[in-house]
Amino acid sequence: MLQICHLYPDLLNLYGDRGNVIAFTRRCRWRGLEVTVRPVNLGEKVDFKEMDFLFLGGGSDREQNLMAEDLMERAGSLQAAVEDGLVVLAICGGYQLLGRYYRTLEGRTIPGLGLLDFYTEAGRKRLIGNVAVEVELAGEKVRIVGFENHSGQTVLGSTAPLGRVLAGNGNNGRDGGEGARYKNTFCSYLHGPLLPKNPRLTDHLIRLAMQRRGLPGGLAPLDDALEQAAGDVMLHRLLR
Amino acid sequence: MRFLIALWAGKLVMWLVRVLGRGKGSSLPGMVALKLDPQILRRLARQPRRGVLMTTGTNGKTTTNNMIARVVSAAGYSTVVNTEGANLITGVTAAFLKRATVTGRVDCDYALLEVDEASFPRVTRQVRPGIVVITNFFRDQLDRYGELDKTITLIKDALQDMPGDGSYPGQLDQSSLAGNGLFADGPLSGQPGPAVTDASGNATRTGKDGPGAALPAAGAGTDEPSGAVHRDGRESTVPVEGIPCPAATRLVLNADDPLVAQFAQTTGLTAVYYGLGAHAGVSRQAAAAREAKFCPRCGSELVYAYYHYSQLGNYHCPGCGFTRPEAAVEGLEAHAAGTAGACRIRFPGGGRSLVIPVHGLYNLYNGLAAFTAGLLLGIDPDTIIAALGAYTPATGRMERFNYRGKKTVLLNLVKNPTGFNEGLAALLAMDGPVDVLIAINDNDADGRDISWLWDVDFEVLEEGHRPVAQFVCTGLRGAEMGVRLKYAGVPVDKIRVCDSLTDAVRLVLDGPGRAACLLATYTALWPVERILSGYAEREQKHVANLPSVS
Repeated sequence: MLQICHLYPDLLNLYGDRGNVIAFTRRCRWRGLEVTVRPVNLGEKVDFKEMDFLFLGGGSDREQNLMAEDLMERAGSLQAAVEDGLVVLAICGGYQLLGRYYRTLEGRTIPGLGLLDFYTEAGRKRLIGNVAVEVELAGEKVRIVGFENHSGQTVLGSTAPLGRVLAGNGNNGRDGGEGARYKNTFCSYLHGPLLPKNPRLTDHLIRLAMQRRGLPGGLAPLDDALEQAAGDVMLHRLLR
Repeated sequence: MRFLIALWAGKLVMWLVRVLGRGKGSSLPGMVALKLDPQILRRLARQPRRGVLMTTGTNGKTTTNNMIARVVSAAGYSTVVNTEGANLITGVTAAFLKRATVTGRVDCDYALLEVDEASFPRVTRQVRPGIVVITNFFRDQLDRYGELDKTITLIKDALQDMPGDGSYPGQLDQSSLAGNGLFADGPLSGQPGPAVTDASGNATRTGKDGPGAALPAAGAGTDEPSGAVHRDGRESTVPVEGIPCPAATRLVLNADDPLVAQFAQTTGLTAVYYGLGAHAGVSRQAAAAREAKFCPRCGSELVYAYYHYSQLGNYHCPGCGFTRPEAAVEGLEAHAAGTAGACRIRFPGGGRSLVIPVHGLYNLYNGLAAFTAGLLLGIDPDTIIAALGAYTPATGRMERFNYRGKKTVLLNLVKNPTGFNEGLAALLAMDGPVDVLIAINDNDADGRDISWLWDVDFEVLEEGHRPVAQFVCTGLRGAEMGVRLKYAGVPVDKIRVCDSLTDAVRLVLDGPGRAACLLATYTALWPVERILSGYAEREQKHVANLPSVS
């Protein structure tokens, strides 16, 4: 049995990113693996250590501020869980929040949770469009696709990128990196949402969560023809 | 002279576009004319004798405006209408160009304009509406990144610049509405003349039967002051003299949407509310795509007695007391009657029963908005009811076709989660089995980011897929639509991805269902409609030939 923690679903319900939780859940259940989804909204209690997969999305400025305020109070226990190998997926604004800080165009610095070593600066140009990225999952190179829409430009410190941009901008449009990766924490700018049409990444996250929980056995293969087709449409368009 | 050159150029482009058969030509002529004379709209739009009515909001603009056009025409008035959903400043301009004579005269009683939310400030800098109808605010796929708040603020600012009649909207109750000049007794603007600044209270009429009240628009007959435009042709951001300036702008607001209802207080303009009362189908639960969890005034979480859909419902704020205003025009006992929507309307001075030959609760809202606007224009309620009953939807707004006399086919545009959810609700209310086509494109006009599909509650299909014979997914992102359905819990053997639009349409027409429902995003809608009309006949249903309504 795996426990999914969906952070602030009420607040961040407009970016399609809940599809990530849907995909993780479905792919577990299709294999007979039990999961429960625990929505955690502002001010609600949660013990991150007991969770197996944590999803954090992003929102508009107002929502982002509310979420940052709430998460700051949980920073200590979240950091402990991340160090302990909790599987985390953070998208866009949620990604930025895990870093050291965000610097606005006016030069104001908004502190992040500091769990990972990177920072984000507001850019003048919004980076919008479809993206293809090559990531390495369990030693294998896999192409993933998604849609980015961000004005923040992220610069990684000692943290490794999630993958290498094949098409699109990624973290900042300059260094060819997309997202960030530390232990079992995966960060990305990719909406779309990311997990449904990139089933190999989803299964990788499920496998990591099972290993951490000490659950035996591998993952039974599923028929991913539809997912594959959806991803291929975009890969063909971008990499032709 | 500049005006005339722009006018002729616009008209020439309009003609060329039509002759060459390139698209519908609804915005290019306006674009050309505005380029040559940025003030052209100002000069054209001040001519309607009885004023300008605008409809804005996220969903239902086209339908509401077309319904109002029906009502106003039924009352015997001539109109300028942008009927094709061409709702940017270019489309609005083109609608006037089409009607204008070669000397630039626009001979009509009313201009009825559907205006895109984001274009509203730009259009209202040149055109002053006597009435503004606001339908609802939802996040569109194009503005899901904090743009909605910005849009609402822009519209609010634009409305704040408009003259009010000084009455505080919150204090109006239903009994006083009719006597307050809100219904039927508005001042007449009369013939074109100098700008009317003090028209309120003049020349009232009983308005019991048409021709009713005009919008208090001024008929300014003089030339533009030359200082209205910057040298480089940019528009002035401050209102300048010469704009047709109605004595007062009045609002027609959806009481059930807190994002819309807040406009009365924040703009200080007089508002008349319409809304739906509780009915058998209301929900106690919030839907996934709900936008306004929080009070637009104080930020506290709103408390709902019930929801109609999305954030529309009966709400109040425990923080500041903001509450759903009482609707002067209220739809009661809303229900589906075959493929029509029906309700009883209660309004100051009477009640009627309304049946509109289009599907869905959201179309009842559109009907109520049009009814309210009609009353404000002083049109006889029976005339309004009859006109709404004879409404035929625009392309892709629950448009009905018939395939070989054996299959009813519905075509509907989908463009955001709320609209799609309503489309699904209408689909599941159909007599099964139904063949469903979903065409998803990701061109600029559709929104290049299709992640909004994951905010649509397809999860209702996990239990509710039974009446659906098959889902044929097509369009540039058809495969991804298939993935969405799969993860919503629809059995994979019911999902079929088909790249060719023509093949996809054939698949649903010849499928096992007794009915078909075709849902398409904006740029997929026209090709699907074209293919469909090659096989199936468009129905022109009026209330009289609808299945009997009980």
